[in-house]
Amino acid sequence: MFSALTRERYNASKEFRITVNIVTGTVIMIAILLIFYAFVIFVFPAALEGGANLMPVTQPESSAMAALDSLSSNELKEKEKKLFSLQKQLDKQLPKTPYLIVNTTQNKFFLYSGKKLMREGICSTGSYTLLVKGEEQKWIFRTPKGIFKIREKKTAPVWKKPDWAFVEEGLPIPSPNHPSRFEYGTLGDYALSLGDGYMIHGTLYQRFLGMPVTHGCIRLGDADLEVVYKTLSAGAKVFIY
Amino acid sequence: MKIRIIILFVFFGLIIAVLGTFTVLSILSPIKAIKNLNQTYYDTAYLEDGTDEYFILEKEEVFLKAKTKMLNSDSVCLVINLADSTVTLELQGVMLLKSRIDYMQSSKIFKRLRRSSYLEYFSTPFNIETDFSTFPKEAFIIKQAPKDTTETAPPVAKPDSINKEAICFNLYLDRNFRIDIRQVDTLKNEQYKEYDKRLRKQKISYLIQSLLEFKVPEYHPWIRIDIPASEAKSIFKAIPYHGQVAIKL
Repeated sequence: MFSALTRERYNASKEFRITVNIVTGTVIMIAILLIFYAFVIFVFPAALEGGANLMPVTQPESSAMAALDSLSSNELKEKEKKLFSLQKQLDKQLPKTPYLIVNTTQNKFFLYSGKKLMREGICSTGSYTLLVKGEEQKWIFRTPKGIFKIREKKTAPVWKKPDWAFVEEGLPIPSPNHPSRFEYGTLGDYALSLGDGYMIHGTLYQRFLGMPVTHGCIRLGDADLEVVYKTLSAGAKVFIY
Repeated sequence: MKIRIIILFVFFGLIIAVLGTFTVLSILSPIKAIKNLNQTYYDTAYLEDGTDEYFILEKEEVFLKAKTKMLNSDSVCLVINLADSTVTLELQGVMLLKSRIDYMQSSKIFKRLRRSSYLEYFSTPFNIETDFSTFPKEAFIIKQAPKDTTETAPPVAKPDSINKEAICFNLYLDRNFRIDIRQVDTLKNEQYKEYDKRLRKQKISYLIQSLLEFKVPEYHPWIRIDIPASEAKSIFKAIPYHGQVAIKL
């Protein structure tokens, strides 16, 4: 009887010790993990950035304009001349005639003459839609990016509808010169061709200006289109980004 | 009991030693980067004792030269001028977009470079190697052609999602350079958290990998720029996948 009680007590105290050990071990492991985590998240990145502070600073903080005021020696003047000629070389790149810049992300256009902004406004560009018909026929409606030139200027342009215009409407594709391909008034009063079928033209959907809804062409509002048409000559550059 | 205490002390001692070593290696990383850059890009003919004014003009010259080199590219190039607090998009010398920097931060190592090393390092445009962003560069909507006119849907305009998106992107350039561009007052939404998490994860996994190999981790110089959301979005969508970047600090 006595021996059984002692064994029971002994077992209970053993269990207690095991429990204490497990709890202590867990706490220690968690503490270690937390320390590691703190080091990895905060200390190492901070050390990585802070290490540079141990090296001496070698470069000036003053601004270029402030420095230019105190220039005097020939060496500095020579350097100034060099900078001027480099800047001139860069400025030479500006088109001699008015040019157009189109931002396809914001759907905005900017008409420039040299560095002077003549007009800015909203436009519509490619919708980034991929039209799929069956497995083989695909059309991507996006405005191409890069430098283009005005190849042709037209008044009262007639739109010769390409195949995708019929496919998009669920209509059968007519023959290349079928009368149903020719639409009057859709492109507005003017059109400026950029090549490969892309144009800057007007729109019947004025409410969509400022949004990416076109099949790749650049649509302008009536008043903007008139100014752009009258300002840009054939050969003028169009920068699309 | 005593043995346990000794084991615990040894165990903690080891942990502290490892963490200490890792910390030291981390501190050494930018120092090593400065030394490497100073060795790789050092021009022995250059006189380091010129005036600050002269060096500022030299920096401008190097910047203009890098821009001149980009004239040969027929793609849109990114120009970052921290001295003027501007970010511009240029195409063959024509400025397409100009954005004023609202907030900027850069690696401290640049102020610790030798002047000749700085001039050499920034004398040629950087090339973008990879990138990642909170929004897609080009997102296409796939539309199945209707079978007949009854299926034709009227034209629908997509609303601009810019107000709901967090606009942030990272450009990894050659010469180990990294650019982090974020919108001013970034929306701290899920996209932003995911972006931040990805950046931190990349940094930490790289750090741990180097430290486990007991190597000094390679330091990547960086700049962080905050600009308006619409401009940040336009910039990222306009620059080509392997575009060029000219930088002036």
